[in-house]
Amino acid sequence: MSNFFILLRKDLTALIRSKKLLIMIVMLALFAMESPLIAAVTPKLLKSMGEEYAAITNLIPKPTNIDAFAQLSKNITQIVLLVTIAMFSPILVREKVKGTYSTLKMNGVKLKEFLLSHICSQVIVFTLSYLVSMIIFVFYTIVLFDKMPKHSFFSLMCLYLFMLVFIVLINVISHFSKSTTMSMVGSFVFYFGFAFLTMFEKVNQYLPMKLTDYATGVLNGNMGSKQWVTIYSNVIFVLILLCIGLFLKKDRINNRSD
Amino acid sequence: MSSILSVENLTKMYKSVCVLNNVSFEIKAGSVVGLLGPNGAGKTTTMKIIMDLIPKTTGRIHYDNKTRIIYLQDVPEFYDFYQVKEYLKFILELNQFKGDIKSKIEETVKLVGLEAELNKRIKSLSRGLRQRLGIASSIIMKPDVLILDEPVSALDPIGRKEVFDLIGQLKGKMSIIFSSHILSDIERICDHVILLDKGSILLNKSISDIQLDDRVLVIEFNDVETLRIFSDEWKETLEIKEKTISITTKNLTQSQNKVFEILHKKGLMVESVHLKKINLEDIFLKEVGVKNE
Repeated sequence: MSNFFILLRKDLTALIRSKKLLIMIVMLALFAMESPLIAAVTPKLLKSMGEEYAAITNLIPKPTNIDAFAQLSKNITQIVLLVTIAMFSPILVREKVKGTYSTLKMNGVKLKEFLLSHICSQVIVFTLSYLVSMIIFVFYTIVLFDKMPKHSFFSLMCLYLFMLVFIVLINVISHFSKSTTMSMVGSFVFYFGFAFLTMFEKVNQYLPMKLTDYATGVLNGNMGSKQWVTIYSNVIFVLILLCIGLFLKKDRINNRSD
Repeated sequence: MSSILSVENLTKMYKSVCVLNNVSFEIKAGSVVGLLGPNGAGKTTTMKIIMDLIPKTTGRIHYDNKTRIIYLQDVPEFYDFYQVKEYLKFILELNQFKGDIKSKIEETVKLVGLEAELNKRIKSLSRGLRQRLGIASSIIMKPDVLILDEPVSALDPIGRKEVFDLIGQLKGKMSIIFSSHILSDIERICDHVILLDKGSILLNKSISDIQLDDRVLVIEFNDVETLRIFSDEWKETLEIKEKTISITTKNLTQSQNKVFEILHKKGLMVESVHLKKINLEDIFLKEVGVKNE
């Protein structure tokens, strides 16, 4: 077995035994359940508040399955992302600070294998949790709204890609950081930096944040080249990040003589 | 014995501060080398540069590409979520170990005395047991050179004895470099001593060359005038400190006779005369003291 797969198994074991997988599944499952429920129940709750709120409740349109997606998108891009940064960003840098990476290095592990195994293990954990939660989300949406909207698979994939971009990003930042604090602060700086850049129309369509707009924007509407430009630019961004992490930080080699 | 690792003119600068200054030494195959020095002497820096864990400023580290070197930091860190046996298996797998993993693990834990902890999670182990696990994971692949940075610093006296006994068992099987402040242990186990202070080597000798068999006659006088008369009459090397004279000798009987002869001849009175065996601590204090003067 190559070192990459040995490390991947180690990193997955760490995520399982430290209960990070469980936290991710429970958190996403709760939001998957809550999003369609909140969308369906909120107008009814307002109506039940009495006649004095009639003016407001009459203005609220009938809830649709798109509202469930909007609620899910909001939860994932805010709470889930922040919890993911808090949970995943210290992992890689902590290994370097504590000295466990030195042990790996002495036992023949390359820096590239180390970074890739961390990214892959976190992507696997997120993918698994996302799959479970999406089954729950689809079930609740169909139960409460009878059917799924058009382009719902594309919408869910946009949210998935958004999270993948950030998982790769926080690991690369962690890879270049000297402390867990620097790693976490760096991840938040990028998050708020992207949020700030959305104000500029010219760059907005290339940013990961735009994916979350499409997660609700494309539902029951038309899909065109604009959406694919955003998807491609984010995939390219992930590849660039990986190249930076894999090739810009190199293992030092001492002068040895035979 | 042939050299397995050599360090040549190693210098390390942190900005404008020189923490290692032209350090050169050789490690012979199968030897146990003690790296001594006060805090901040550059011991850990030297070890980490050998392991390529920090970059050097100038100098060269020579060792064969096939030479396997393992470093164990003073407080070893592990993947605490693993059991002892899982962690050792992980280390063997990283090294593409081809033999019987189970028997290899059993053989290693028996050597370090961790049989009872095999199925325990690492996070439940005490400091002493973690140190043993660190040594187990370092020796499981039979390295050619084992570098131990302050291996007993966090241990109680019993733990210290156990770790040094373990190092004693490994003697001859691999080259071992270790740093410690417990000089009596270094004296007991090491074949060679390297004394570092402020980034420079003060002493680089084998234990047999340090002449630890020498004896010191310590004579305490009542007053400085008596001491001066004695020292004028002695005419050989001696060390004077306040009202005390120290005479280092290989031939104790001859020196004792000479001392009493002078005292009798000159009618000198002394406060006390006692005998001391030279140990590494004396050499350490003397060398570091000389450098600081």
